Amino acid sequence: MKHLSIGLIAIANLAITSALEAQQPDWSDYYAFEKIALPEKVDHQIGGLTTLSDGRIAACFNSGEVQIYDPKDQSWTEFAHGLMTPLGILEEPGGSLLVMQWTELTRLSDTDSDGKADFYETVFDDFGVTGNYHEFAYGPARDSEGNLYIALNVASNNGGVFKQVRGPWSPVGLDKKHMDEDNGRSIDDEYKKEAGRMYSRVPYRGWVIKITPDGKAEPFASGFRSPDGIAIDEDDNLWVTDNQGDWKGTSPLYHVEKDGFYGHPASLTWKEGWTRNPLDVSVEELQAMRTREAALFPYGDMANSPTQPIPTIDPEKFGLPEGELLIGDMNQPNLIRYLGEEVGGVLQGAVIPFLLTPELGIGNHRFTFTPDGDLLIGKIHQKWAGDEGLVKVVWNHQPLFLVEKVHLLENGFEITFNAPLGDEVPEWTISRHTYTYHGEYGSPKVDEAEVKITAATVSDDRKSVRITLPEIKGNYLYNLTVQKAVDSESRPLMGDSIYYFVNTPASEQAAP
Amino acid sequence: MKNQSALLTAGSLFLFGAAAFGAPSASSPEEAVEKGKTAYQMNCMACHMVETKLVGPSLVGIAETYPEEKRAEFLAWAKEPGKKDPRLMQMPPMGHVPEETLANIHAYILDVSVGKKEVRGNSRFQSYKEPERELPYVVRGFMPHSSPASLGIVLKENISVCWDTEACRLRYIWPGDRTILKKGHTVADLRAEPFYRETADRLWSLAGDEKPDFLGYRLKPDGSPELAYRIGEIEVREHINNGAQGGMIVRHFTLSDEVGELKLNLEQDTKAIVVSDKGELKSGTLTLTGADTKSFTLTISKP
Repeated sequence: MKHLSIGLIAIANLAITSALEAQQPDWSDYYAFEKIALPEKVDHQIGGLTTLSDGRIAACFNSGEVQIYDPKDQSWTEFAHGLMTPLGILEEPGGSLLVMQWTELTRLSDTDSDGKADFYETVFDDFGVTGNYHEFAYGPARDSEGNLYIALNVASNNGGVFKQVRGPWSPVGLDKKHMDEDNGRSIDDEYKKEAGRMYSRVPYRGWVIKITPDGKAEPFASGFRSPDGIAIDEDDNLWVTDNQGDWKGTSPLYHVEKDGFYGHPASLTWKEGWTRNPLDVSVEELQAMRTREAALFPYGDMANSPTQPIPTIDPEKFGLPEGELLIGDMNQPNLIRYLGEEVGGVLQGAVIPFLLTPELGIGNHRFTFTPDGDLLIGKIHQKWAGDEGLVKVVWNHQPLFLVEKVHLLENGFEITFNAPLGDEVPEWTISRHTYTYHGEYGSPKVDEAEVKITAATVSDDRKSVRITLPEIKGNYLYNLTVQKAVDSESRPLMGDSIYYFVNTPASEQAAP
Repeated sequence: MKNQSALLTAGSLFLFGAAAFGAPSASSPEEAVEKGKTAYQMNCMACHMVETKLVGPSLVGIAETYPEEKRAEFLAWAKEPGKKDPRLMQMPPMGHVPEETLANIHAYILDVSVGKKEVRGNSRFQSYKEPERELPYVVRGFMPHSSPASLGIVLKENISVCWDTEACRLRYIWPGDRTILKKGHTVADLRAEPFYRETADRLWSLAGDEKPDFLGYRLKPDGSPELAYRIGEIEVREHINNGAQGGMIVRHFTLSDEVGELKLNLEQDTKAIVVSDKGELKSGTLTLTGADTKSFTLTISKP
């Protein structure tokens, strides 16, 4: 059910399209989707999901509860309640749970061992909250040293701020009296532009914050808009997804490093030594400051509002190679595989649709793998596009034919599969486009063009294809699509459209 | 699956580029509708159903608002949307969608809506209603006249407390239960005036210049909270619960250390009756000394 790219089809192609549709490989040949019954008295939107060390599952619900699911008897038990929009959960050694709620990172501990939390301990609340409806807070992600990372949304000028806010108010920008008149509900149209479409007038909206095991916090990276997905992989890389909008031409995945600036200027208000109004900074200056994306999700084609990244697990359990990220989206009925690589010291890579089927549905927000290797998906909508409920995705252990690696070459791409290609040489089509970095909401596809393939060579073992192009342009998203690709056992390729974001061309690699 | 941009051809690109400003980019109305359907599926379908109002209005509803002759208004709205229905979320601007594609979407909306009526009252989801809670119940949420980082403490006997974790103090007490339990990012409607509201800028004489630091709360077996916060070197615990009689709440304070003299400014712009089990309460100020500063209880009753 993936949809056609805007404007890229001619009427003549429609007949071919239908014929192709009929032959499309079916994800249900490999994966089953099963709804898990949820407790009755909670809002079935899931903000956080994690597998506990004893194999049970902890879920945060939008109505403020944390409930524990025991797969043995399919029972749910309340662990905590009364939280505000909890959007992330993590177990700590010793069994306490960390939950990120609207106003703080909270440790929930069951000190009297009755199965319910009785201590709601504030771990970190040293950030601003204005009462604006858009100030969602996400995380925590934890690295191997026990450091925690959380991510904070900026506020939206579709709403105002409370008269009483938490945190120091930055005087730089529109006078607060024009923003709190309606105590959070709205800003008058005449002042909206001056407020900024998205704003950060209390610290550290639009930032990722690092919290060390001894409780010290530091503003870690800036430039975020609505970073719903934050995750650490096995190599301690910090990954953050963000949502398309102002300064985000399409939704990105970032490899986040300390002191990086990831493009949205509102957060700069809280950069050390910064005194200017972010609305007055030129695009050129911001462009020079920002770190480009590790991946781009083409809006409408793959993801409109991406969610949590989760590192893949043992291939024997879920069928996907290890070392990838799996990422969700609110609007599109697919998950996304991210196959990253390091080019010139920069992590960049390809995204490929996964489980693109109406059976998956939309609103895929939070993920956890069970000890058996099943993928649990918690859904949410928050009154936008999305869904609710908890879905279990089970692999039937039939091997899939997949793209395993996409490697950027100086003059093309090398695509490696997990099995040899069949006798027929599949047909590739390549196009590319870029996006405009600007303060307007989203960007159309810019400079979109088909790319002529100079050569496409299959390796001797038939497990890889080397595609040569006249040139590779940096800051362009390349779409490599293959038709009728099957392996030597006639299994169809699952995921036949690759989007590789060329952050830095191989020709510009830093010298070793 | 099916990313049919695989079918991209030079011919289709040309056709795409040849569109007239603001008009559907197609050689026939049928083609415009077909292209509009595709673009609708990519950009709009997650929120707009054909006949049912969901995240946004239905296509049938949009077709009524924007008939053929209002295409320009449709394009303008899509590129810079406002908010027509306060109950619905505001649509993100569709500036990334080329104008001719928006025009195709408009053509599709008009075509698919012919002869259809909007279906009302259908929800995508089971509607969540706040269930009966066992009281006391502690819940975070937005409340009036307090910071956005506030806690509602819903006690028995139709009494609720607003406690601000930013200022680390009780803000007010009002007659009403469950009104704060309404979730979301809107400010709770208390539906009643507080019968107790503290007005002093600073509650504790301990405070100095130091801002109190909220540490969290413990729920007692009956569900009532003991809130903890630090002021300088002193950790304060404040247990809030119903009093012995209806319309009464009890605040039991425990300090980590004895201080020489302690004052609490309990001035109010309401007329509740405040009683302390220790020290002297005079003109709204409670003065405690020596061992009394370590633990004391305030009882607040409706006038």
